[in-house]
Amino acid sequence: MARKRNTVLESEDKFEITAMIDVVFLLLIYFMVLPIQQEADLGITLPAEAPPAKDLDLPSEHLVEIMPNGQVFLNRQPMGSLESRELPQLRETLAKLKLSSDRMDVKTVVTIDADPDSPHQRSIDVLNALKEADIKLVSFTMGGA
Amino acid sequence: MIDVVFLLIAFFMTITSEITEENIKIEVPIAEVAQVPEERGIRQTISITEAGDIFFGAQQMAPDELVNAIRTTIENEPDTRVYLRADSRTPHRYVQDVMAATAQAGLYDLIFATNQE
Repeated sequence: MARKRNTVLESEDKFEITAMIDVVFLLLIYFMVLPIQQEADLGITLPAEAPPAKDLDLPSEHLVEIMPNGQVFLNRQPMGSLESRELPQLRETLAKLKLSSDRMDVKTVVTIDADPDSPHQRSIDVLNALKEADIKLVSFTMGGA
Repeated sequence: MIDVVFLLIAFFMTITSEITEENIKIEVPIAEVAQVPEERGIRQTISITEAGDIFFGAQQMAPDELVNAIRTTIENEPDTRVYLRADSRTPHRYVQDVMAATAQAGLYDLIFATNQE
């Protein structure tokens, strides 16, 4: 009886730390490999082929053009520089336009006419500015050039 | 030794998940106001590489095949949204092709993949 108790005590003394270290390493490797940055969403709803709306309130429409070199124009006016990714001028102008059309209870619609050769980042920059200006009705022109 | 085996299993598990659709070599554009979604919903990933190669899920596809593929998807899952992962340097024409294909297939809800910084 006394002998048996002794063996139990002995085995408790020999607590194995190696296995625990292995598990910790495994977890460490797992979290290292996990992608650090999660991708975020920037959603738009493309205009569907819907029947024309009944109300005849014309929306206030604005055209954003993106040149192949990345220069952005709003209603033919150049906006921002080529270097900066942020388009503060575009954002501010759009916010003002949106505010004035909201006061008149008119929807603000923005059409993006991006050159086929313009980089995708520039379209996203414009969408980013539109989202900041809280403009939800966005469409892309198709087929041009 | 069992530990080493487990380590290898974990390693290969993560590696194989690297090769699937989410990890076709793409550097998504940056958008500060984009949000990491809490609820991802049902999504169909379409990736466009810098060179303009289009991947429907993990499968490479021509733009004209895309319409049918999207149609089949929305027939099975009507709530599907398209998750468009285009490289930041992809010329807009390829993005336009994919947008045209989704609209043609009758799917209007688009999400652009971005990074916040």
